[in-house]
Amino acid sequence: MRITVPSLPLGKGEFIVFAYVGDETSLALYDQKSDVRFRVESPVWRNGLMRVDIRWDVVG
Amino acid sequence: MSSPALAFQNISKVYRVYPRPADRLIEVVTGRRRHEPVHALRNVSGRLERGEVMGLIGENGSGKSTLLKILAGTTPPTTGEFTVPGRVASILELGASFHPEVTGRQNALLQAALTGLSRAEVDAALPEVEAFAELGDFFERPVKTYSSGMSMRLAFAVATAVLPDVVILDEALAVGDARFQKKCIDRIFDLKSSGRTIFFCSHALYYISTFCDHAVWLRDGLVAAEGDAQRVVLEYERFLAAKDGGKEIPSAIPDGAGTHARILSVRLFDRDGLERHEFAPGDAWVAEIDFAVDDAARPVQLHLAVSTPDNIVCFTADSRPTARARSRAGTVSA
Repeated sequence: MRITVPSLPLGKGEFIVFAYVGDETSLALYDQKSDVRFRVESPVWRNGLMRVDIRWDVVG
Repeated sequence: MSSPALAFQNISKVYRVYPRPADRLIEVVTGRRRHEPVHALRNVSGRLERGEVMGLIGENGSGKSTLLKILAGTTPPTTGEFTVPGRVASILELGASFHPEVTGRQNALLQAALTGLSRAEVDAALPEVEAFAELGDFFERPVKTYSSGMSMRLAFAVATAVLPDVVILDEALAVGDARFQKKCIDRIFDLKSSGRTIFFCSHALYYISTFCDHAVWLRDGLVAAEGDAQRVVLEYERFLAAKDGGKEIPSAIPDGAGTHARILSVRLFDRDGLERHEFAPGDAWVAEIDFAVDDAARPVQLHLAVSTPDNIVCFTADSRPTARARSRAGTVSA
């Protein structure tokens, strides 16, 4: 199974990927894996975890 | 090699703990030891180049504050040497250096003068201190009337407005609302980009790993790890997780280990299908989960979560619309 995020919305930092497989209701979890980490590098530091596209409009 | 902005070598600090106050006098008179030595730091060394930010991490009692106090010049080391050329400003114990009975303005004047500024320089810096601290009328009131957040804002404003060569911050971002924290971080970056050196201690590992160039992890007064900030933070997190129960990543979910379905691997790729572990903001990010099911007739659902090492969940995804159709015996990699 492949999950694609077209534009990663994260700022600089270290992150962990948790994957779970469970039943179709998610009430029973059969297995998990959490040994994958990745790093987001950026020359620019901004406060906050997320890096989102923002548009400013002057109104009124 | 250029001279460092801050260097310390084989710093040790031993405190003498006496069972009773009178034992101190008895020890002097009799010459017999009446104290127990407590080693706060043992042979700690490090150096920062100009314009670098170093993070200091460790559990409570590991010696972080003692090291910062030594470098700030408020307590001497028992043994070892340190060099801090230039002007040093520090925020150590929140507001501890303020006189409670005098106003914020008078305290700011005194603190700025203590960093070595002339009266003219102090007068020039004061409007910026007042503006940055955002105390309003409280700037003219005694500091004893301040909340902890107000004291911190004043302390941070003074420490950074005097344009020191080295800034030493001990948990300076622990107090204050998110907006003020952002303002402080922006100020730290301004100082860094103007060539100032920053030694920064925090329990907020996110800050250490994201804006420090290097980090030192202190454990029981010893350097447990030092080097690249993200690597040192990772080692420290693994240590904390192991201490919490022996698992690298603590989880409330039991390991299914093959009960009906198993996750075989999780791999990350870029848009070109190359496996990667480092991305930039805005990059395409692909996670591929290989899993196996024992019973093809039993529908399963996959979940994925991305979180920070201190367990802040950034985003999640689940396969609800598609997993049922794809679930089948054997390894599935769609």
